[in-house]
Amino acid sequence: MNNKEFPANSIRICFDDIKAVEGSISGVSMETSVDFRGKRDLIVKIDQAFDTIGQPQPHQVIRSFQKQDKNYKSYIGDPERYHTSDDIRQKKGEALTVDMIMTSRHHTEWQGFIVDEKGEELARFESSLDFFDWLVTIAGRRP
Amino acid sequence: MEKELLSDALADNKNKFIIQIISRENNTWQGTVEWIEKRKRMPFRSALELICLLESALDGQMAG
Repeated sequence: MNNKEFPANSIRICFDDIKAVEGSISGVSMETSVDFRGKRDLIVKIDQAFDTIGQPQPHQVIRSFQKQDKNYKSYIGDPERYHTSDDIRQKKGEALTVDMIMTSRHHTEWQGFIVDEKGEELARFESSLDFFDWLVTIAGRRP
Repeated sequence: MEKELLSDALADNKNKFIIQIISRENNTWQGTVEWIEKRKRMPFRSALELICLLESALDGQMAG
């Protein structure tokens, strides 16, 4: 997102290895960047990141086999910004860099859009399955 | 380390699940997941919830 302010509900996803789904996620309202390894790990860590940021909130409590697995935070209208947009802009993945803007979390899923480094919208997603389908498509379009 | 723990858990014949997809509304999956070893069955409303359920089972196994 060139020359644009990163909203609090955005996350930069830096892929160092597309096949292995390895890299890191960071955001202006994420205190530290978080590494991921594998699809399952990426999904869980993105969901946890937005739980911590406090917006958008999930509309349903996600079920668990364990008791009291998650501590849900209240909605935070103006989340703390730990980093500037320039800090986030400088983060790049070795294989692919995209920004994810999460607009809502209805139906225990994700809704939002994927933006490239220039700020161009690449795709809109209605679920995590949709999101991964688009990531595969976007990764395939790379030169 | 995490990979070793995971492969050990799988070698022990633990962490096997039966997933039944009942519908595919809202661009995602709905169904049930049964954790065979613990004889627990939980409904899930999305692929995201399914992954979180599997994660909660595997996390519990790794924690001991």
